[in-house]
Amino acid sequence: MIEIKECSKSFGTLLAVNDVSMDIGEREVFGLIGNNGAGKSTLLRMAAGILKQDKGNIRIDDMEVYDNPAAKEKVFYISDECYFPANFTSRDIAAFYQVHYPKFEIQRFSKLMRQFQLDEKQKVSSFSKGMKKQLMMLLGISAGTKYLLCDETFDGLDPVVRQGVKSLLAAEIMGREFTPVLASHSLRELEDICDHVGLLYKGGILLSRELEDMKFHIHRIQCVLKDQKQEQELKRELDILKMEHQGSLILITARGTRTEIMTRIRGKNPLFCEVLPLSLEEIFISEMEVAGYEIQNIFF
Amino acid sequence: MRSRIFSSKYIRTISKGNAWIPAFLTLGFLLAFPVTGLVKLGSWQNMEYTVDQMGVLYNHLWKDGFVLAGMFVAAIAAFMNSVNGFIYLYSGKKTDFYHGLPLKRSEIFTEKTVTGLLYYLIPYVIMEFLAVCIGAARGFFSLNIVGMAVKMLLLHLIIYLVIYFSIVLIISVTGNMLMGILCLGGMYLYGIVLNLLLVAYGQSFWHTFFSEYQYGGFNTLLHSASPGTLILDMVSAYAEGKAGKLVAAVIILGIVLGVLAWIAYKKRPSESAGKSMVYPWVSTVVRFMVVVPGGLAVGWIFYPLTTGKIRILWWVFGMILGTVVMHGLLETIYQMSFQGFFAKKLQLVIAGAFVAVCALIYQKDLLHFESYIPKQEDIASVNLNMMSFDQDYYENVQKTKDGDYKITGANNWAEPAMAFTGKNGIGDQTYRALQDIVAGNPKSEAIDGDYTYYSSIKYTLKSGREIYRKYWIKTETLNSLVKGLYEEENLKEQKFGFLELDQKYLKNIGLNDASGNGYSIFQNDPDKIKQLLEAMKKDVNAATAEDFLQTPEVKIDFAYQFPGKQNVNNMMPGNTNADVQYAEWIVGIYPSFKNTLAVLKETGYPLTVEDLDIEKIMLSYFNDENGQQEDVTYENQEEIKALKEALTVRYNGYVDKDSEIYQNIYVSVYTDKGEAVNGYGLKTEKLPDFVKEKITELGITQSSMQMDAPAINEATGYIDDGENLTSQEIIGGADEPTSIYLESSSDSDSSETE
Repeated sequence: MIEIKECSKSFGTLLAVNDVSMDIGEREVFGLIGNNGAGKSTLLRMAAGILKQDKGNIRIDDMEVYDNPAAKEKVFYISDECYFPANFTSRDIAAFYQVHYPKFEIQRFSKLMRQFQLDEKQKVSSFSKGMKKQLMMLLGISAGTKYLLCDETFDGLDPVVRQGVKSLLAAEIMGREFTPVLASHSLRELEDICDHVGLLYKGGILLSRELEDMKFHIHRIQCVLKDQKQEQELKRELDILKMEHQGSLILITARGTRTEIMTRIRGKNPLFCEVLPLSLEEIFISEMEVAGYEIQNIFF
Repeated sequence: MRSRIFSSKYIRTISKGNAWIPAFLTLGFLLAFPVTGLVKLGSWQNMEYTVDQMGVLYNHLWKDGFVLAGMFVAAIAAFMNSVNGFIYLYSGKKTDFYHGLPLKRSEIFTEKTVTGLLYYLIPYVIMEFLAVCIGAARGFFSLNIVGMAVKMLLLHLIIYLVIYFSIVLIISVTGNMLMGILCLGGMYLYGIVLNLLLVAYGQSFWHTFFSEYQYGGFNTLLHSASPGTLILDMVSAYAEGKAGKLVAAVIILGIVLGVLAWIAYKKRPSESAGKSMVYPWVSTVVRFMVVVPGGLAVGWIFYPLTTGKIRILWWVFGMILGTVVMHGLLETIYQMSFQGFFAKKLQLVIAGAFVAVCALIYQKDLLHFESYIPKQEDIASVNLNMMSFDQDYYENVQKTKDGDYKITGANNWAEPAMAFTGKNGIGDQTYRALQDIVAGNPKSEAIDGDYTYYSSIKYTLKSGREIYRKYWIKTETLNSLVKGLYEEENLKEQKFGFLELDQKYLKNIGLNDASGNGYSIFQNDPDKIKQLLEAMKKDVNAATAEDFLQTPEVKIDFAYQFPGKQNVNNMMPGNTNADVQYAEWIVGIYPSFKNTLAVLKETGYPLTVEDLDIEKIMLSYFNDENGQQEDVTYENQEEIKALKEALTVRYNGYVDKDSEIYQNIYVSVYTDKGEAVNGYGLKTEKLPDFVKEKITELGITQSSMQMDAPAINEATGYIDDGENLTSQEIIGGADEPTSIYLESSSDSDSSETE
């Protein structure tokens, strides 16, 4: 488990991460979402033991991570901007990581390279940005570490590879103790793979929830009620996040299980009532608006 | 993990892509050792050195040639390895890559250092071994050579580590290449540049500042404040076989730099890549270290552009300009933006205050540099550049433990062997004279006294500390000082020390007669030589300080030749004869030296003006009011006789009785051998009537200034001890007139007589 407690980090006068606390559980895909400059990379670099936090602490499996090889052996960090030593081939860089990560599986790496149609003997400097990202992902998976920290994970990957990588991560979670932490500025990229999402904004964490939990507890219903009085009663009975009117049609976003919400509405004998699907982005928008943030300011 | 980073597999893996470094260094060491060895051995063979000589030269090669060549390659190796190992710190991407690995910072540091050492040591050892083999194949092999090879390896290793850690330290405290280069340059050149600045200020503001060579804090700045100069000093001392203290100093420096580099690297935040300076306090210290001297330096550039009081205003303007510009430039570099030029105003003001304090220290002499004189009881000895006070020349000959002779010439006046030492420190009269000299020095910028000399003095304190000063000296205070040196110090022993030497080493005695012509005397007559030396010994012992202040009758040159060892610097190919070294004394024979003069009389050469067979005397009457000069030649024997009464030889220095000489008559004396070499003057008191009449006729007057010692100001000449008699050579050897070359910077001393 990665435990981040009251963690802050400044770069000069810029407060990059402000008093962030979160736990990243084992064998879940953790999505770290935030716009540019939200502090995702800084938080990941601290979790990888590259940066030292100014305040708070970060522990990996109960071990301080900074300057601690035992903890860092459990983490593989993939930077947004991948670096490879000059003149190294994929095989060389794999050998390099093999001497640093005791559980590195070189054969697995070769197999994955073949699967992703990358040439092990080719110099990495001749790879495209996407190929370098793929290579880093394959190295990260082959390293056999318990945690994989990826910054802007799918940036530069084509849709096919992106899907392949997601499948690979899923398969890895199934096969062994593995927890990928994926940072991205795009909610849509992560919604089909993440179990847990943390939202960073201006260095602080706005929310950190299980995705299923969020989806299970927020619903959007459109209905037509007989009179205004019933609408007022529903407002009292339901934990409504948002209520919009389109003529007589009422769009309600409310917290609670589907059954609870529908039972309440049907109890009012509506003329029409149905549950609409909610995207992760819409869930976030609703949550953010309740929290008082203008979501447009965060993502758009 | 520790064992992992030292495993061969680990080193091989991480060395991938770095093979060019050991390959390049192999080439470097190939040139430095085997190729240099082959070239040298071949060259010695062609020059027909004997086998023994080649042995000496080859041994020396291991202390000098190989050391120097290897030092350059070691320095390059240290630069390449340190940059290759740690330059990643300047890139955020690379820093994330390396610092994300499961290694402690200290392990990364160790790994980089160890792999760098391997890249350096493996080619070094192979090439050095090859050089030993090449020497052995030519017949030069011994345990001594193996020992020297090992010592050289260790010496180069120390040099390598000092340079390596200095660069790692700089990379660790800076965040980008520009700052790295500037700071590295600063580390290696700061002491030298600061020394130049302090010396320039000392010369500009202090009359007593001594700058001919470095001592004390100035010497430390020049030689010890930079790893580069310290290493160079160590290498040059190693070649002379006396590098002990310097090796220890360089080892300590290496350890300090290593520890600092390790701490700076370990504590360096990963996010520092790209910043100018990693540690804010270091940038503050660097700021003051650069801005304060920078302000002073720009002020100093403006200072000599004008004269008078206005120069102070320009100096102040320069300092303000320099401080602002240096601060602005530094802040621009720190912030990587010209917008930072006027940032950090408080620090600018503080730096300005420091500049002002430093400026006042020089301009107002806040530290009392000019008036400083050590307490008498603290002074162990004083050294004076006596060659600036008279035309004598003397050397100090010491027999060393191994039977060699160590000769110290008068040019090396500051050497301990040339020190004037009393019985327990220096005496009262000497100290009083020194106090008078110090008190009599100009108090303002203008040099407005009647000074004759500008000469250097070195005080050696009982604590071992050495202090140098340069003073403006008046004739009367100099006389008092010289008197003290004769009475209380060992000037007599120094000047006439040759009288205690074995006569067998005396190769020639040259006599300068009253006309200034030189002759070799008493050649092949050891008895006469012995007689002369004995007479001199007697006269010197009996002479008082007053006697030595009289004008000498003649000058004698004693040339000694001592056995010396052949060494690599003076070895002649094929010549196995022992080398020789020379020592020389040129001393005056004073009127009180009756015994000596009696022996010299036997040579038949004229010893006094009365003895000279003068054919004519030309007097040049100079009227300094209208600048006219009239030459009158006197050939009448009566006139010559009358003129001889007033005639006196003029020697420069304290022995010249300037005030007794009529200043506006220049004298040329002609004998049967042509114009006499010596300078002459006419004593005012004994001027013949016909000369007085001529003076009246021409309207020549003597101003008070002319009657006294020559007035000295900045525009007129004075005797500076930087302008010494540099050599005197006697050619020939018969008891006949011969050739004497006197070379001096003073007016009429450069002459040749046949």
